Amino acid sequence: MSDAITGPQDGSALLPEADELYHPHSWWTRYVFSQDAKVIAIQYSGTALAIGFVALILSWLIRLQLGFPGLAAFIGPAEYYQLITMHGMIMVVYLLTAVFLGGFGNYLIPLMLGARDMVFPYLNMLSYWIYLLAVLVLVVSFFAPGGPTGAGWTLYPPQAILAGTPGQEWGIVLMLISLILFIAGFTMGGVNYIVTVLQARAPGMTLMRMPLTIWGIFTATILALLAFPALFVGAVMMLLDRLLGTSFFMPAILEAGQRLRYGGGSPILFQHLFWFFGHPEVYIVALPAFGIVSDLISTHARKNIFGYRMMVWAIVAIGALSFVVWAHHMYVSGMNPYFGFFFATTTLIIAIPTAIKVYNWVLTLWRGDIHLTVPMLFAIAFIVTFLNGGLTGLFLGNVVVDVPLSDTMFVVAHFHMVMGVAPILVIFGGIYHWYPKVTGRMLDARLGQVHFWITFIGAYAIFFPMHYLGLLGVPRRYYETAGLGFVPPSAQSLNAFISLVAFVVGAAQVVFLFNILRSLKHGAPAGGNPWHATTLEWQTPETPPPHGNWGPTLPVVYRWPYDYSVPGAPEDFLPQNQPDPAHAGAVP
Amino acid sequence: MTLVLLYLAALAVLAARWLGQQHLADRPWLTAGSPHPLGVPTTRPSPARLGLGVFLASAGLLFALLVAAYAMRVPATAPVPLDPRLLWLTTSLLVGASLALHGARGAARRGREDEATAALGLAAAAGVGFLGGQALAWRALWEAGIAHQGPDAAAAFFCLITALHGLHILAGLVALAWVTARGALLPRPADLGPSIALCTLYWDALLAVWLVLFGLLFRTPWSGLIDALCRPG
Repeated sequence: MSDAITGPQDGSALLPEADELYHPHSWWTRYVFSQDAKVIAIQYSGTALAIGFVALILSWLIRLQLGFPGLAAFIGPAEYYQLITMHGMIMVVYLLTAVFLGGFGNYLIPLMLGARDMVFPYLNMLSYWIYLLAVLVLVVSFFAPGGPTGAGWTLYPPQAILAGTPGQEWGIVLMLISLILFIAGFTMGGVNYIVTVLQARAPGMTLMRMPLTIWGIFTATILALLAFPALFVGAVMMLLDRLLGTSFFMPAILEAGQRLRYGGGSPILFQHLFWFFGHPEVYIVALPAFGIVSDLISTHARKNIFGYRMMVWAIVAIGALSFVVWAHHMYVSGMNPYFGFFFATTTLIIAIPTAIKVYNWVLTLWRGDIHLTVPMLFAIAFIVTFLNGGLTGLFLGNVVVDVPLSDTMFVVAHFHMVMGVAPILVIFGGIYHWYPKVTGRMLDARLGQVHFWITFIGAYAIFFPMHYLGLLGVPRRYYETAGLGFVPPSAQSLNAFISLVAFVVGAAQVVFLFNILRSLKHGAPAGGNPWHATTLEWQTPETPPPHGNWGPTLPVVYRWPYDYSVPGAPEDFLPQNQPDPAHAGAVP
Repeated sequence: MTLVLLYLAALAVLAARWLGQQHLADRPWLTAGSPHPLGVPTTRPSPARLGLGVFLASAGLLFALLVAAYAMRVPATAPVPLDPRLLWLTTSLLVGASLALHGARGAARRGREDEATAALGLAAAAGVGFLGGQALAWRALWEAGIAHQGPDAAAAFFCLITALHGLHILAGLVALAWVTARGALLPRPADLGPSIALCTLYWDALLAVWLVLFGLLFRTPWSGLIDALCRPG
């Protein structure tokens, strides 16, 4: 879009006639089948948060069973497996991935880069509708005969498609179809994000002037385009094993004394494919979170980000390394010990760029003018939580420590801290931060504080003790632990405590939902730039930005996105599109 | 997995080369104004071409993973139970489609729109022929599989891989039909050059993927190379 644009004398860029945007003509094309990235972002986020609330309710039921076994008569072992499977799958794929890339990606990429829209708006719209279809197929599996699949979120064969597993009839088939649809839809969105970042940036927006949010989303999108094919292949092959009786993953198996017609397949092959997707998936979620947190901290501490270049390089390095660590999820699969050594080494190397990021966030806060706004609270909480989860990752990355901890609650505590709670805190922080731009109104800060403190302290009360359960040897995925000789009775009282906290934290999310809905009408008017932020999305002529974002002229970028507390500046910050005060109006 | 890692390494080299030109060592906090000329380099690919390239990179990994899975699951001594002559025929049809598209591209560049449209039609016909040949192969395998009480691994992989490849071919045919119809039906056709160039890139990529798959699934002169890449040791 910016091809024909060079910065004219007045420091702005005109939209060439030939590039006139598609414009919506009716209510339907404006709000439903919209091709505007901002509307698509809201659709993505709304759908993802809706299905996320389903996952929240599932987690309540899981905790009900674990904390108070037998209290809910309708949760038997089969239902329990269905609960944990659907909770995990929804949270990782349909909520986190969709919100970060489909939601934040769609909203922020064009606005932060000074573009009018995504490069392929129609494809973008299609991406959302296919995502919605994937979510609907997933929801349908709850109502299918036999219920949703209970294979565990990793869907390991052979058990995923054998008769003893709940949802073997329809659940697993619908799950796999839903994943295939999700990947098809995501690919359309992903191609869009990459081309937009590469080609639709406003004049002057070099890569090294992009906000770290965009670096995170951009790199995560590349990871996703290279990781999802593995899940796609695995899903298609398992679908054929289930429906046509092929034996890609299925070894020779006896079931109830009968030899099934499967034979020769390799279950380990599925594990390789799944984790070739599964590990980059962690960073598909984490990298956008890293980026968003960097921007939140810099803005609300009124300080330039410490070590911008290091932050960019670290994002790229983490992205590259994330493709050579996948087998650390498979230490107990019987692999060659030398492979274990290799993958442990690569896993621990990732700690270096990650630690650089954590240090840089802390150093950005150091002597900053810290405003403890709600987004800032969530950002700081993310650093603490992510650090905690990262440190237990060092335990699990080492083969000898991982083997005894495998399949215990320690693993559950670790990944919930590092890729469950931590990114969710960023999503909340991001919503509190950008809601004023999306709606033109502020979210209520007091409700936000209530929401934050209950969520943050509650998440710790849930997952921190869980590490100790794991160290005691309490296994994960067990419907009940009563009668296990090695689990002391005190584990049950801890489980009951965790469950009680989980109910409170879940309920606190209703406060958040209420705040979002109430503030649409009753929130304080936000103005264009309530946080006094430098990045382009806060400099739009109108708030919320209309279709096309920028009015007749595109912005021109003169500086990096972190000019806060600038000496001599009229305010304490300089927006990216502001020429040097000393040379205002000069040709860039 | 060697092939997958090599594929990723090749992408990484491309990405590193590109990143090397992006001034990643800049100190953006020191350079207000314009650190680099705002003018856009003239050699930049069109958004559609870049988007197609990104998609093909992703789809290429899909097929690389399938090849890796095949190598892990099926021993080299268990070839697909099919007469390879049929596959040589379909391969030549796919080569023909690519050649016709290159012809169409050249004709469009010279301004010979009639020639270009005819060549497009020829390419589409070759593509349909390719799919027809694959369908015959699937049918033969289906019947053989039922006769053997269940499909064997190599045959199942053949069907899976060629079906996924065939779906991509089908999408390519839709695109070709769209471009051909625009060339043939519109009274004053728009410049077909860029659209034909996109089709050519797509079909060339699918041809390359097919040659790898063909070499993997059957004994061809280049099978040794592919075995060396995906069955080390």
